[in-house]
Amino acid sequence: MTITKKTDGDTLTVVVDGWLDTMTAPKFQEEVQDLCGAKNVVLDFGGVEYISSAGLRETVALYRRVAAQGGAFSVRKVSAGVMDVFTLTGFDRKFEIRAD
Amino acid sequence: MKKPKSFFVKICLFLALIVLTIDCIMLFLSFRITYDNTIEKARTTIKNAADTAVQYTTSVYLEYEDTRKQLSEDYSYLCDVFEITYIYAIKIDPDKKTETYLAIGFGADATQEAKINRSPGVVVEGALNDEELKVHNRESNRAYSHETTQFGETLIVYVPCFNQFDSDGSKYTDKEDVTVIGAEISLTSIVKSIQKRFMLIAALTIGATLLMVVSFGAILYFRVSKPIRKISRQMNNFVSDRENHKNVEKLKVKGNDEFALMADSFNSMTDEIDRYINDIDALTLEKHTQEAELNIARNIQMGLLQPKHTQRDMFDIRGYMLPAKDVGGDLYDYRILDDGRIFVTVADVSGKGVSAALFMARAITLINQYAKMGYTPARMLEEYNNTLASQNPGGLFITTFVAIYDPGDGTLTYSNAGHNIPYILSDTLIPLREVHGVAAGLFEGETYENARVKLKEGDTLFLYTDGVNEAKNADGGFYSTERLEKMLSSCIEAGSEQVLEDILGDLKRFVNGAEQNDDITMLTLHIKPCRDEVVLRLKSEPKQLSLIRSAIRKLPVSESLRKTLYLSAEEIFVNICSYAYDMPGDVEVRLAISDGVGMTFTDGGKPFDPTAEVIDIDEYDHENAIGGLGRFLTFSLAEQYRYEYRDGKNILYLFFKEVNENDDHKEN
Repeated sequence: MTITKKTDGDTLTVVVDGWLDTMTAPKFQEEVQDLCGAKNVVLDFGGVEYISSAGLRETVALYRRVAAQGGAFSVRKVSAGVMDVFTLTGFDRKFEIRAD
Repeated sequence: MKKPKSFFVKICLFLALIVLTIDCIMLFLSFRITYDNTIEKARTTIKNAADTAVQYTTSVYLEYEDTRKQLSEDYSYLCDVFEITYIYAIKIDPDKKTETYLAIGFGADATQEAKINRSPGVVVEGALNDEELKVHNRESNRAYSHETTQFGETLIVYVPCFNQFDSDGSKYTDKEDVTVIGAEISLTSIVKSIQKRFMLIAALTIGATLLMVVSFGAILYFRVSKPIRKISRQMNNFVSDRENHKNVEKLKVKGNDEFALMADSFNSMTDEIDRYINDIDALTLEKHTQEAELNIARNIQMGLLQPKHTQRDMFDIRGYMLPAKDVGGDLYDYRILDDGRIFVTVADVSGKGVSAALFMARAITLINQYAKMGYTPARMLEEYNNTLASQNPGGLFITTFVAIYDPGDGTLTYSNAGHNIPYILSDTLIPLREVHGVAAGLFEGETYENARVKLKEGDTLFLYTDGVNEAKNADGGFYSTERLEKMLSSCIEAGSEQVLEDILGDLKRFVNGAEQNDDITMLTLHIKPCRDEVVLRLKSEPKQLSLIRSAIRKLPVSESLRKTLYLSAEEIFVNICSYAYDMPGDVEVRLAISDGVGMTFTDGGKPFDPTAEVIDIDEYDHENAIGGLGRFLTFSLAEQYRYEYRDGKNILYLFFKEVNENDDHKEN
């Protein structure tokens, strides 16, 4: 899994490529520890084919941090399989998750 | 129906024909006799007349015209006296073949024409006949001629007359000089009068005959034909009257002849039949009521049964019941329990009819309830026996076999309450006779035991009731347990998966249409062979997840299912790695492919039921909670899941359906 971060004004875009599972979740957590001072976060899941509950947990943790600082949080370019997991767990009702 | 030709008309016509024929023959004969008599009488008359005429003639001299005239008058007088037509004297000239009238007398019936043609002195040529000649030649003293001429039918007698006087009036007898005297009587009028008389007689006779035939016919009609018709009509009416529920009309008995006897017999016969039919009607009604009750029983019985065929990813269940005519109270039942285990049972109530069916209804409801409560087969039977026995006024009992199959480890747990020994069709035929208790429903407090046996893929459990082995053919022979076992063994050899159909086919061939005495019930549970199976023996280290993943990667499943498998395998395996052992221990992961994928995780760690306390996503605190998401995801995605702790091991069984496959056959 690789993670690329881009800052555009007060919005941080995190591009994730690969599986977000038990093995990679710690790395993801580490990478997003530093929000580079951005207020809002966009997760680009265009390269994520698979997410497990470990990945979900990190995603939710990130959302909570952004929400706590009053920022906007969204997940973009979500594939159908990953979208199912978000829908099943009800997280689609908590933050913005988009397929585009 | 064609209108029948009356028997009496036939008889009357036949009789009339015979009588008329006899009449005609009689009339003809008597006519002939009368005619002959008349002719005979006429002969006598003309003979007498001719003889008298000879007396008159011999004494006169015929040369004088006056004399001849006088003689003619005398002849006429004689004609009147004898009532004949002509008397005449003729002279015959044989050479010239002529005859000359000397004198002629006419009777009352002489024709005018004859009077002119036959006047005295007339010479007639060519009218000479043999009789006249014979007399003239003295060959005969009397000759008769019966002839029919233009004057009609006549009878003539010729006699010779020898003149006693010569021309000068002196008396002599010249035998050479013959005068022929003819006396002639016209038969036309006589025959006519006879004919007339006979016509009258014939008319009277025929009239009498017809009258007789008509009266005979009338008698026949009123005394025979009409009564017969009436009886016949009455017989027809008897049927329609009965159909219309009218009272059957009685025949009136008149007189004491055969028909009265017949009418009387008919009346008593209809009475008998009427009573008999009423009896039959009553019996039929009773039979219908019984049949209706048996139908109710049959409907109760059949209505409670599961579908005949249920197929799932790893197994195939078939049930069959054919109730006997008087309904025996058999049952079969099966259920896929919530934890994925399969419950099967077959039972047989002692007794028949509605009571057996009602008992069966109670039994099936109870056993089902206990199965749903998760009881072991032995416990099910104990509860079931106690409940049934506590309220069993009819004293019925029920033999029951109960089994639960666990697809996770292939164990079949069973218990038996007095039921026929079932079989497992494995490599050999295995009878399940390990445990055998008392039939249920009679004695409260009975205990039952569980027995276990492993079923491997491809095995079939065969349950049945005694309606199978005790099925009778027309010769009274039983199908027998031996034949059943032989047939089941041959199913193993043939590798048949349709054991139930094979046995049923053989049973039907054996019975060959003989009446069925008892319900025939069978149930098979066939464990489908997996298309593929992978067993991974791992250590409880998260890194080993990759081994599971690579195994999953090789599975011939859809990408969508593969993702689900990755997710579930990760969640469960990571869970085990995190909590099962203090130090890394053994974890066995088994992947079995059929119509979906079965995943079994077995570990020897601390007892932990992952299926317990699964989060409710609607009440989940998305903001704050952390744990439980993985298990929630896994059990949401699994078609079936079940956990058990057995022999010191945590066993979690999961089954995932292939989503792209056609699901039509899976639910009945």
